[in-house]
Amino acid sequence: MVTGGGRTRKLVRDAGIFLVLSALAAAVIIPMVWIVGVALKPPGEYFDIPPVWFSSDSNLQHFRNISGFNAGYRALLNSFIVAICATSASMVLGTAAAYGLARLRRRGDVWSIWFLSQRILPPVALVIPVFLLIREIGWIDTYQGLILPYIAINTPFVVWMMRGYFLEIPTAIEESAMTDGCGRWSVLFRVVLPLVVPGLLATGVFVWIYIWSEFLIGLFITQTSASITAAVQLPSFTIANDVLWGEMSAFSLLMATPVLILGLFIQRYFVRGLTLGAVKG
Amino acid sequence: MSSITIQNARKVFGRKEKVVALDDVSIEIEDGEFFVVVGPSGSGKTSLLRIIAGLEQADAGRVYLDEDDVTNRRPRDRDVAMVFQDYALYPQLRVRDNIGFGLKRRKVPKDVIAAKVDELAEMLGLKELLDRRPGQLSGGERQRVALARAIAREPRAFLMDEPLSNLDANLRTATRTELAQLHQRLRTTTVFVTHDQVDAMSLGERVAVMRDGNIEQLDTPSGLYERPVSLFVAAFIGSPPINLVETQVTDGTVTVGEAEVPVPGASLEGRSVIVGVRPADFEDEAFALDPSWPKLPVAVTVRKDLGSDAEVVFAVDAKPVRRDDVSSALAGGEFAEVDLVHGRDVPMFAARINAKSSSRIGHNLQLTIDPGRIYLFDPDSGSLILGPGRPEAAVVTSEA
Repeated sequence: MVTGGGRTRKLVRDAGIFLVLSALAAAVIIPMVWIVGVALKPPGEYFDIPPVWFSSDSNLQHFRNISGFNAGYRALLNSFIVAICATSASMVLGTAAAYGLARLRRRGDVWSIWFLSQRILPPVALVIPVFLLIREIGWIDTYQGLILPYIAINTPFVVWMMRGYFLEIPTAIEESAMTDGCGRWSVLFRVVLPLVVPGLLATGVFVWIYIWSEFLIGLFITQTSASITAAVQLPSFTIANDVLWGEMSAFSLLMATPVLILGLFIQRYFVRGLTLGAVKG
Repeated sequence: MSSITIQNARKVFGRKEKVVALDDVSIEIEDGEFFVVVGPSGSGKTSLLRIIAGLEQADAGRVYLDEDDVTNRRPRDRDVAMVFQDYALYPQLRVRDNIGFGLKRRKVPKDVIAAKVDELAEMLGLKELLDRRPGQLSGGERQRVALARAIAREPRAFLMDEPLSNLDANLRTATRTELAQLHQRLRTTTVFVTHDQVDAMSLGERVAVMRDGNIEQLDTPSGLYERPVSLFVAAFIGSPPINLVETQVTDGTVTVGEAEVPVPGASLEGRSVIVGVRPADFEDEAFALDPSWPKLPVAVTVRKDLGSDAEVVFAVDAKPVRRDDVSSALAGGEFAEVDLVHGRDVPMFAARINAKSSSRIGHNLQLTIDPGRIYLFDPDSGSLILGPGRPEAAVVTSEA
């Protein structure tokens, strides 16, 4: 029974929740919209008071200018190649390891903490040794010089996430498949992996976004347009005594687009991935 | 279809703290037999099944299917089908593909699989469900799909690991009947593991009762009931469980409460014994077959009317039997440990009597005991000294 008083209280509470959520949404959306505006408006209007959201002189000049800076659009391509390669490799290695660890019950718990501890280290603590190593191998300013450390950093994360998903699968299902005529590999590919597709997607996107936006290691390893990544390119729109707000915003927008698309695409799995994978891990 | 032979199987788990799951087990299961392995949890019954399936490797011993030594074969090369407690269906596959999975793995042509799936769906009443996924099915339906999946491959044997324990009481009874019918029809060798003695008694052609990694007794269901080798088996088999008191043979009788029950055989005179009386071997005096049977006056504390007969529960003034073998056999069972009504530490007995008995809660009742059906056990070893399943009350002397 909803009484008159109860209904009012519910209304007030709903309104409160709505206001808080609106404020949070605004905090996320307003900067994004502002970036779109800056990317399109001519330089003279950046700091107009009162602020102009969208200029009447909006054009694509900043996007054209990007190609003149540093690696230009090549940086996006570099990032893309590096992210795809490193993500795929981390996923393959990490998923295989996670499956093994999930099924070696007793030892698995200790190992997974160690794997995760890699991820807890601050990146700054890693970057110098990584740089020295990569220089020693002679991979400075190459794709592989970026891909290798990214695999090393992300594989433990994949192991940790995927192990949680594997632990959710009752072993009886696998044993059933074994008596039904599957070997270990065919159990993995025909029964187990199809069951963790949401986990694979969520984890893959996490890893991909990490690499796509990674800055520090990129800064140390890359030098020329042969390998400069988008995240490293972004600060180079600050020149001498000036910040090229328009170009920087345009480039930010280009960098953010794939992340947004991926986010929308797998939103459904994302929350599940965070809770399921994490809690059980 | 195959016979299954297990020779001296041993399995120990754990490195530091060793748990002996199977001590030294040898069994021969005949081709086409419905063989039940029953025992309390931790008795090693599931390990035994998993060793037959190849999901677990025995530390010692051998497994044969007919003449083939399959000890070192992988599960998929043994050609046995397993039905699991929680069904273990493939959640991402439709019922149709679940049933056909094993056939597909064995490269059976598609049209043959489809025909087989349809045939089984017809047989098990799954026709409407073929295009659903396991998540959309009820427990009983899942159980049927799991059965269909096992049957589809026409394996050498079915291995069933507590397949009924997730079903509610009515469904359980119905599924039991279905399993019995299926076995009549298919005659596939079946090894059925359960902790439920009703499953064991109603399904098994032969039943192995396991305890602490060993087979305590292997017999037909009625053999287990009539001729239990030990207190453990006697307490485990039968529902409600057998009533036990500890006493002494004096002047050729044993005392159960106020009843004096004659015991044949002079050799037992003066010996300490544990007396067992099955609930069904009591009767209301008014319905007793023989007026000369020993009388036991009791005060009824609980009466359960079961329709066909009535169950009464009462306290008996005697020394209760507290032993590890009895309590492990009764663990989880419907067993009244002490007299809760009067707060006394005396054994509570159950009796199955004629439903027309006028006994009521709180009232006195005169019961009779069939003297030819009492069991006597040795309190030291727990083994049977004397039981009802005997020609002329044979006294068991050599059983250790």
